[in-house]
Amino acid sequence: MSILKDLPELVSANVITNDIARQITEYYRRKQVTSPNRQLLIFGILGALLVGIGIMFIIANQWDELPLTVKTVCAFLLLIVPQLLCIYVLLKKQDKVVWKESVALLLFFAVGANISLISQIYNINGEMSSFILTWMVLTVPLVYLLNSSAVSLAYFFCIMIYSFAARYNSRFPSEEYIYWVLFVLPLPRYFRLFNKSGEVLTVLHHWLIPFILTVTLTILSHGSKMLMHPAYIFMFGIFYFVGVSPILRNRPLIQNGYLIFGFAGTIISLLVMSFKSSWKAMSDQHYQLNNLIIAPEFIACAILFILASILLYSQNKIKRFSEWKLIEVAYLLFLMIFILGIWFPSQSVMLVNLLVFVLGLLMLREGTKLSHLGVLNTGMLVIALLVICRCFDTDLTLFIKGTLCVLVGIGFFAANWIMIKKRKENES
Amino acid sequence: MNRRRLIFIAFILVALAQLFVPWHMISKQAGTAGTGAEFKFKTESEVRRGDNLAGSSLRGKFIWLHFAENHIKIADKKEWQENQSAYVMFTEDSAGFAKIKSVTKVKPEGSSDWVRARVYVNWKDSTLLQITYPFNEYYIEDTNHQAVDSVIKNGLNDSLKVNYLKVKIKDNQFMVSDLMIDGRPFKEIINGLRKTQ
Repeated sequence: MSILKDLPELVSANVITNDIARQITEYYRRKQVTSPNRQLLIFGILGALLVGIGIMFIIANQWDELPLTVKTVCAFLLLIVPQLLCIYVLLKKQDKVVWKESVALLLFFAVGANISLISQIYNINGEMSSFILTWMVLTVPLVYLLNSSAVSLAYFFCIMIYSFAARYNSRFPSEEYIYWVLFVLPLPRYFRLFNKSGEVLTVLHHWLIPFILTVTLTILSHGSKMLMHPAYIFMFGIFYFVGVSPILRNRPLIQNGYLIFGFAGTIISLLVMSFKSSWKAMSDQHYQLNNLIIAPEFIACAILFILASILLYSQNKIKRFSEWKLIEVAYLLFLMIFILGIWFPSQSVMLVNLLVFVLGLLMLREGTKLSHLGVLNTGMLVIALLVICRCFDTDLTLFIKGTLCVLVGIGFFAANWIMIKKRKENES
Repeated sequence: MNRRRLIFIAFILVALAQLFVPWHMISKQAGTAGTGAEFKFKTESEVRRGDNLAGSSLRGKFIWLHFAENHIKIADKKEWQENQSAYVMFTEDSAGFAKIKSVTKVKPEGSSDWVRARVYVNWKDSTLLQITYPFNEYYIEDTNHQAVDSVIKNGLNDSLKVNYLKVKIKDNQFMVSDLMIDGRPFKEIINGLRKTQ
């Protein structure tokens, strides 16, 4: 490490004392022991993943000549060997992160392979959802016992598949609600990971969790489909607040999946609602409040709205109202527009368009103020998307539609050119 | 007790649970094999219905069996939803093959000859309720797809041959034993073909 090489020079030049040099050396030595080699960790996990999948394939293909008892013993050995490896790691390599992650992931796959092999050997057919549910319940403790982020990631991915199997091919009514229980189980550990937000596996969690929530919220959609629109916008609001929370705010954008999902999700959802056709169902008698109160979509909306509002309050309580950003209250404004839409859908469509347009304009202003090309272009992109969407559903002539697109294009060039010119002037 | 010891004991318990589940699956199967009633589910050969070919077919690691007894007449299609789960009770016909006794939405009582299956209203004839059994998939050892294909074509889907699957059933538990093709077990035919190749 370069700083350690420079220490003798810094001591001899009296920049730091001998004592401080020793403390620095000790700090880096401790850090090396507790934090694993990132490369080794990635290859360890990839290795476990490949070995796990490989064993599933190899054994599944070599059964033909073996008698039933041998097949059964092999299926159990496939499970017992990774279990023994885990016991070895718990006893002898408790502090080695790479070992723990690798053997835990191996056992995770071994449990799934074992259940499916036994089903195959004994011709036990069953539903996909019951297979994944059993597999997940048996492996979620590994997340805590072996403190494994790799198992946590694999678990989250598999429960996403479970949610669809349970929603669209359920064994009993309302089976899909079990998904939410499964989702909560590894969360306490994930919240503990927030303080280590720079680590690769934690960053992957920050992308995977908003992704699977975005994909799986739809399983709540039953009879009151319109309510899924506010539910999604409230959820994206929550993602945004998590993304700008003190722990993630200063992280590079690539490490902040919440911010990307929160922002992009809000804009895309608003753009979807900027179409007149998206509001068609609102005139239905079904969307009167007394008909909705026990709908799962309504309960989801209520919970997500409360969570978003708690985050809005906790993050903005020390700010003056004039310092609040429009994107932070977009979910609140949308709620008002949505309620208005029950009686006046046309006005709601106009207001959503206005909201998206103002969001884009404010980003343009912020980009100019901060002299930040990324923010500026994102603002331009929001306006451009709004113009493109309007080209689809308005009765404008082709000439006007074309002119609008050309104007937005020129806007892109002009804004970037002016910004770069301004920067050069400032530098000189 | 220190934390490490607690984690170790908890892991041992989890590992035992992981071993218990497959063991329980096997023992439940063995229970069904010992006390369940055996039914012979006759398969239907390849027939042309409208534009669709119906018959058993090879799908990856299993053969999708097309049973003759896979539907029942219903009075009102509105009572049934798409891909609903239902309880199917069985009896035997005069030739000794499995016959559907009833399909209900509630668990049958008084008999243990039933399984839970997926049902849906036939999209061409809405007076028929189609049934997909949990034993529709017959696992095969997949090293010899060519031989399996030839057995399906010349055996399972031959309308002149009598083919059936032996299944032991007891209160939704079932155990598939032999797939009989013209009086001979499927596995025996495949092994015979392998030896001659």
